Amino acid sequence: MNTVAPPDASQDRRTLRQSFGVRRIEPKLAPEITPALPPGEAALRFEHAHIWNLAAGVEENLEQVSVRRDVARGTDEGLRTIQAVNALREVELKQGGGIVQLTNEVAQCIVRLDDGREIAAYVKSELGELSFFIDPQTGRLMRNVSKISDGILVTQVQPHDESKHAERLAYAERRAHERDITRRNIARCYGIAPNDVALSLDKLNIRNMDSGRAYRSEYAAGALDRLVGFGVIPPTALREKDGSFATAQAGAPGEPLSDEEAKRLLEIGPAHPGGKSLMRLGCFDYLIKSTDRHMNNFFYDPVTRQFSGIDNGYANGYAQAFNIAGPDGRVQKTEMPVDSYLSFPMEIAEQHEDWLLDDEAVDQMRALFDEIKNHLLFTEGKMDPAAAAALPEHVKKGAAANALSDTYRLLHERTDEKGGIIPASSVIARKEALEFLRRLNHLIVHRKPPFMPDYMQSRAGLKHVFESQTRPD
Amino acid sequence: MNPVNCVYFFAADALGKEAEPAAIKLNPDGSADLSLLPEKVRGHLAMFGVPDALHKGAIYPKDGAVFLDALPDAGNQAWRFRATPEKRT
Repeated sequence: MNTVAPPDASQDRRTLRQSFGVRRIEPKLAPEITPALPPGEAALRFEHAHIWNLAAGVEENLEQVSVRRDVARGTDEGLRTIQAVNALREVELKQGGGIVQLTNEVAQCIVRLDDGREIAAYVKSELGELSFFIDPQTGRLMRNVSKISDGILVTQVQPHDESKHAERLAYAERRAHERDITRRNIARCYGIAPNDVALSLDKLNIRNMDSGRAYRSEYAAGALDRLVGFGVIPPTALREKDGSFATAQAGAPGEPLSDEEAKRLLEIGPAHPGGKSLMRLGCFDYLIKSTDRHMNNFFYDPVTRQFSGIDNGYANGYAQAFNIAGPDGRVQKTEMPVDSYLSFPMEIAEQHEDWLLDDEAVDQMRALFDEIKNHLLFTEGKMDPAAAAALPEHVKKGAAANALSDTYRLLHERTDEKGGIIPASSVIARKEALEFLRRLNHLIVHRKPPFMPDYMQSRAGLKHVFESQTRPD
Repeated sequence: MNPVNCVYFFAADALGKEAEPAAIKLNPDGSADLSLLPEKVRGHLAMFGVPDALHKGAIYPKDGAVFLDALPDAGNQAWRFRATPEKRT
């Protein structure tokens, strides 16, 4: 049982921080670079230092946003999340009596919070998700499996599954063939050169993301959930261990829906006990451009009536711009971003016109949007002087705008081998942050995500529930 | 690589403690036998399957060995699948 009292509006942030034992990420302003380091390793250290500094900014600003929201709502939810994130970042993660080894698999461990509660935590390394490639010698589809053992990176290459190999190989070959086209479409969307798009040519990327970068997306999803105040992503911290970054995420309550529960959810619709939370998760998937919210990646807890989204590594990928053929046959170039989505909660939200985001969530988003918009107008000198003078101090300082900006910089910015930020990566970060605001505005106006075209609907599962009401066999 | 012919399911509680495993083997017709799984898990897998590792679609119990092969990568915090029956603490 948590005994922490809700915050009092008369308490200032400093007192609140002390009473909750909130600790900060200490920024690392510059890494120590040993000249003998191989160039790639030096670049990695610069990038780590850059990401760590940005994460420090995200945490600092989210703390301010959370505390202000808690005071306004008379709750302590935001501060409890900060407390959990700090514990996840700082405690030694133990598993089965030993220290957690970072692998490309998710490791489980137990974290004791300041209030004595124990929670399960799930650790994902930047070594990251599985990556695939086609072996030029044998033509076989291979997968990389990596782990850090006693501080040493060990990478194993294994053949991918034998069965259905030909079918999967054909699919992989098509993706590899289209990779250059994909890079061009991404580059056109952001107004950068194709070579500046960070997609490895020697690896098969499952989504429009480079392999090994999913940990940033995992952390960013937790941060953006705290920014909008939806409470649908378990607390998620960024950690460093053995020179490698990892995320540690608190376990989500509940478990995936059974087929019967999914049918019941569709029959009951928005009146389902978890309806409010499901709608928030669907809208959040739209905000973060989720491409991996299949039925195993969201849980329902009937006790708290909460849906939670896990496994957010494949979100916030690159957008693409496509040429459009007009009725006269002429091709029109467009720089409009086109994003991929795969989200069952988003699909569910399409099934009934009454599936709408709740008032509290909309009010929070409107306040967030206005705060960021007014901060930008203020800093760019575009605000009427009288309005600028009346602007609250926190809007002038722009904690929410800075949290958003730093989160997208953390997601997309890369450094070169001298520690400089690659300009094209900053262009992507800025455009993606603005696109996030555009999606936020859409949700404020429409209270639900836009309908997805049929080709983007999940390729299995929900259709069976909706249409056939029979199990596929 | 040897073909997979048995995968074990472990239900985990909120602290990640695992229950006794349930075996998933192949039926004589080549499909996966889910009969030993809890009803909720059985229904979920039968209806929704598991995602293909390349995320090109879902794989169902009728796919047999392919389905068993995909299970270990498709587990989550609450439902876990491994090739060996040892519980993890």
